[in-house]
Amino acid sequence: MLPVPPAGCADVWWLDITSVAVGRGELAELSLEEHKRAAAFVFRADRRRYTAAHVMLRRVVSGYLDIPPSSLAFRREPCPRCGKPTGRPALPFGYGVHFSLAHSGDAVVIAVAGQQVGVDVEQQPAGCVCSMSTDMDADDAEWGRALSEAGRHELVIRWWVRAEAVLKCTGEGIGHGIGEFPVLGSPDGPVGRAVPGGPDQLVAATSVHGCSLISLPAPAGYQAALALAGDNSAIRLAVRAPWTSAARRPSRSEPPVR
Amino acid sequence: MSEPKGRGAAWTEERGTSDEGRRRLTAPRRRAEDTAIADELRHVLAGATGRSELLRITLDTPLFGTAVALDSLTGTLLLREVRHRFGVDVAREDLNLDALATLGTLAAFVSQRTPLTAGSG
Repeated sequence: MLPVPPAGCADVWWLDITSVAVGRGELAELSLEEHKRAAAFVFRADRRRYTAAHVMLRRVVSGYLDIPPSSLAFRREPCPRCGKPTGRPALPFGYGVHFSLAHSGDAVVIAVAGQQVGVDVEQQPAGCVCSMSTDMDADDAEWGRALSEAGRHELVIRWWVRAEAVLKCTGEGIGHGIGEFPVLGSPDGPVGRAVPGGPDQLVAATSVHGCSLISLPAPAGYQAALALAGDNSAIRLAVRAPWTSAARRPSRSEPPVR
Repeated sequence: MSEPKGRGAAWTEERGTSDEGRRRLTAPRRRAEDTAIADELRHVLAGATGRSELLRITLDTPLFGTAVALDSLTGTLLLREVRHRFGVDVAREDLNLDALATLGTLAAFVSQRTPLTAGSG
């Protein structure tokens, strides 16, 4: 069983969904609700991404608890602002494990910590994202004025993943608070700082909205960020499964999902 | 809840539609306008995501939830593009976001708040 990261620390797990086959054995680990959600997808690729991400989430969280993946019962905490059940995902009794899941394109990332944690990843969109600048905090938007169009697109996505990581950490979500505070400021700098891979990297964090925020290393064409509750000047980061080697690859002997 | 101290100015010029040219509308012309707006919304989605399959979604396809797997960024970008192209701020005018139930409901919501284009219908 993996130890839950102590205060100021977080574990990160990456998965490339193109590297896994999700078979009957893996699908059996999902809940009825997860099966219903998977069945609602119009496109097969979206269904596959969802199932792979949630199989991985169950297996990762299971690794920190003495509970089989299929026995985990997830729930949503109430939003701290509006009280609706749209807050952070959690386990019924907590178990002292906090986690956050994000996926975009072929990338899935899961963060696990002993305190509230939020993670986000986004694939660089195909189209122009400059219209999003009107949602940015004025200080954050200022960084984009001197950049080329490509630089502005990168900046918008950097801003988005950092803001969403914070709002996932607090449980508010992007329905509240996006653009209400700057997220690109020092010491991470306007475009963040690349975080080297490997275990136990100590990364300087920015204090944002009651959280400690860092940019995560991400696959080419993606950007990612992680936020931990509380004011930590640095986050000790352990990349348990780097992008190049998936956390656990389900058996390919199983027939693929639909 | 504290008010945000300020938002970033647009890096690109907004192209909102004006009220000029608004007139009484007939149902057939409005339906044609809905179809044209739905087509444009499909192109916005496909362009933002790089997913050409979104050009084929039907009017009854839910936009949020799981059906077409729009993530939070793409969903937000869709609303920004609706504001940019049609001058309709869905989030401000429809607080419950009922308009976002399906592609068809969003197209109708936008259509009802924009003047008909010349010669439509």
